[in-house]
Amino acid sequence: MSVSHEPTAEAETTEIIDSEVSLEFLNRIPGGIFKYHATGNFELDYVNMGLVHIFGCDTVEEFKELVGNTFKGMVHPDDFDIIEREIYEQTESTGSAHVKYRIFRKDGEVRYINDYTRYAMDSDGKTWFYATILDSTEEMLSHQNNLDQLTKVMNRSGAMVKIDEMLSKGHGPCTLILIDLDDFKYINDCWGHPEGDRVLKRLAEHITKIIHREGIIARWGGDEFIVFAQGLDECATLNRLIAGLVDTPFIELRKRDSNEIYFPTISVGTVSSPDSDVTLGELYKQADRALYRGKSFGKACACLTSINEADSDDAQMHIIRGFTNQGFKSSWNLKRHNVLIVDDSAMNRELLKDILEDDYNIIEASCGEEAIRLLEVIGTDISIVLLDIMMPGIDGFEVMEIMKARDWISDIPVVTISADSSISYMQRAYELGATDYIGRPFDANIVRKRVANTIMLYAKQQKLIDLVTEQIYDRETNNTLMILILSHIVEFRNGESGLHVLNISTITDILLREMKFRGLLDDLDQSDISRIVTASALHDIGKIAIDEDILNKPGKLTDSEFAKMKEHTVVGDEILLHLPFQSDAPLVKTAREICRWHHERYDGNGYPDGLVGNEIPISAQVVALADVYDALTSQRAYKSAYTHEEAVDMIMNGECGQFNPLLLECFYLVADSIKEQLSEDYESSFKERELRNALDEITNKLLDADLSSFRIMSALEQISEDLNK
Amino acid sequence: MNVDACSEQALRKAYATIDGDYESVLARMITPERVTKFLKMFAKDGSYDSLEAELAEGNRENAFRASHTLKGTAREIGLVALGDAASDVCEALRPESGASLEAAEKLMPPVRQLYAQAISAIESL
Repeated sequence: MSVSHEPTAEAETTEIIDSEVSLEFLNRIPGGIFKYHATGNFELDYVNMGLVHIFGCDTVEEFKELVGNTFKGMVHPDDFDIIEREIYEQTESTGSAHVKYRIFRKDGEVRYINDYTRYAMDSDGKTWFYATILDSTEEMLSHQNNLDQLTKVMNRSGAMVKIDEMLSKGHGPCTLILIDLDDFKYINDCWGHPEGDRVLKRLAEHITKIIHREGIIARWGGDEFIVFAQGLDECATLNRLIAGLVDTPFIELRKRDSNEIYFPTISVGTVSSPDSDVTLGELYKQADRALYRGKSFGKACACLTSINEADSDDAQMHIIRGFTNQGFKSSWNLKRHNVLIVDDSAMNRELLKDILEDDYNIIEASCGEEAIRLLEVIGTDISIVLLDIMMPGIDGFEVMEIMKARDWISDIPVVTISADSSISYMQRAYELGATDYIGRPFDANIVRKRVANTIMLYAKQQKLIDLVTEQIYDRETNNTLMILILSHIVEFRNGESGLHVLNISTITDILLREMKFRGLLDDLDQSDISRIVTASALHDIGKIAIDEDILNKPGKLTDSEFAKMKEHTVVGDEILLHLPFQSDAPLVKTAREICRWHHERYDGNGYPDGLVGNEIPISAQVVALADVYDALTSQRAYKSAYTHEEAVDMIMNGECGQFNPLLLECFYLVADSIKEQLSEDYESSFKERELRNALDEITNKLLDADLSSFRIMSALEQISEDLNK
Repeated sequence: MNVDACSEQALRKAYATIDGDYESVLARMITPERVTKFLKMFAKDGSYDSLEAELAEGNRENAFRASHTLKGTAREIGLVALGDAASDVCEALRPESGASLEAAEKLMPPVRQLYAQAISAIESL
């Protein structure tokens, strides 16, 4: 802080000074004291030396030149409009004002100012502001003052300083994340304020744990937190962080006298900017809008936008749905069906909403694009889509085409709405998979009946499908069993856990289904997917040709041993190519792709062929990722097992080679369900484990007997038949 | 909103002056409250304005969509005559119709007149 203790040689000063106070006295006061016109450009009248020094100047002349001799010239241009209004508003009610703003010193440094101003009118009717200012930069920056007492993260003013500083110095992308605790009032009312405080504390810890060192974390006020991260743009990392934020319960509230449990949830809005050429104000405004849009999807939703797009209603945005609270009626969790109304005319949507809202949750989309986004987010939680055909952009037919390509239409019924009841229109709608249509004008009773019937029909159909699927599944299990046995022989020699092959299939299945759901696999249908899943079991079949000493070597492989090891990819491909039967069957072809290329990497750094990007068939890409995950989380001769979280981090950070970023994003989204599924598999029926033990024994004997492959095959066939009896 | 007998009377009268079909609207919408709500909403709906604007711009595809929406919403609230007039414009604008933009424009006067009548009747409610 600049304090002038020396009497300054300002004898030439001609400023008007109150007669009672000496110039020397005012110049000795720490801090800046000045007086300026309350009108026009706020021309300065009197300034003391303290003020001159705060601005890093030596003389009054120097200072006046710096600020153009006006108060306006003193204030940081970004702050002036705000504080001008604040000064007027505050002095209007109390006659004085306390505001904070930034200034530029002569050397260009930004300082933070506390300003106390009083309004006065003199005997001539002239109006003035008398002001005292103090440089509070140190205080603003000092650690203790910047901490929120309750949550121990930074407080609002501290974060503002820090973020401004980072924005002014930094380059490159940045992201502002706004986090809002859902139903804080409910928590305080029903669980008490101490619990409310505990929730805020735990939320701050939760955010800190997830965001880690990626950015500044602050309590913005009340139940709102912000995170500012530089170098973080719209990308998989951001998605991962946000998904982590909204999808993990961070505290559990329990009532002593009842079984009631409540998990508070949060809503998140983010805005990303490709560069740091933005102000905190702009970022905040847009993030707030994103938060609001996210909330419109229900609680526990995050909405990710970027700065250029957040302004428009049709902005590209990405919604991540977090966990929802079973014990609490969040808008998604009511046992009511969700009806998605897609129509570009607000009046038409309102007409339908009016008819249906008593019985259903209504979700609205004003264009085809928004409908697709909502379907991506909410999926089969939508019980029925009421779809207008004629819309700008993606029209109703195209929406259905996309739904068909992504296989949604078999799970989510579509009822088209159109005044156009011409035969060709209706025909096309039916061809695309529409279940029914509602003619216009709407008849309230007919609309209600038709929606109810369609939902009921689909529910019944779903039950039938489940029944049939179960039967088909039983039959397929037998086919799969043969493959399992074969691949088990390979594993057995590898000394890998008996579950490796099963795990690969499970992970492959989960990943492919997620990709299909996200529209990334439009050219694959369900039978392609199940073929890849089945074929994935054969990925390491080439290891049968690798020396057991190499396969099971505990230490690091030598270069030549590693070269030998790498051959299992090509060998697997060749074994299948030279099959004496059905070598051109789709299953065999898929298995060959997987065998040969499941060690390729997206950047071309894999083996054996060094394929790049989507030169690698998607089947092999997915199995490669599944293989890496399972290898990481399993114990091997040469390594111990990593935890699920470590493995996910290592994969996401590219420590196991590069993967297709879209695949990685899907992996991240389903990582938890993979973990769950695998542990379920592990603990699944005792019978299966018994079967596995039996298989171990059989395999052992077969290998000992060194039978020819044909005889192994027929022996195994016999065994599997016996087992299935 | 509570519509008493008196204002239902007004509603009937309004429908009579604009050649609308109150009985069938009421049958579909079930309550007079809902009818009034959507009449008011119709008066604020932008499809008529955008039809005029798109025609003036010569933007056929958008004009077609606007006329289609106008036709639909007008019929929705039982403005039969307006719906029919809008339908004529809509059919002329339909990409497959082969009619010129000018031909469609020639069908606009009845739409304009009926729309203006409808709006003033709705505003009198």
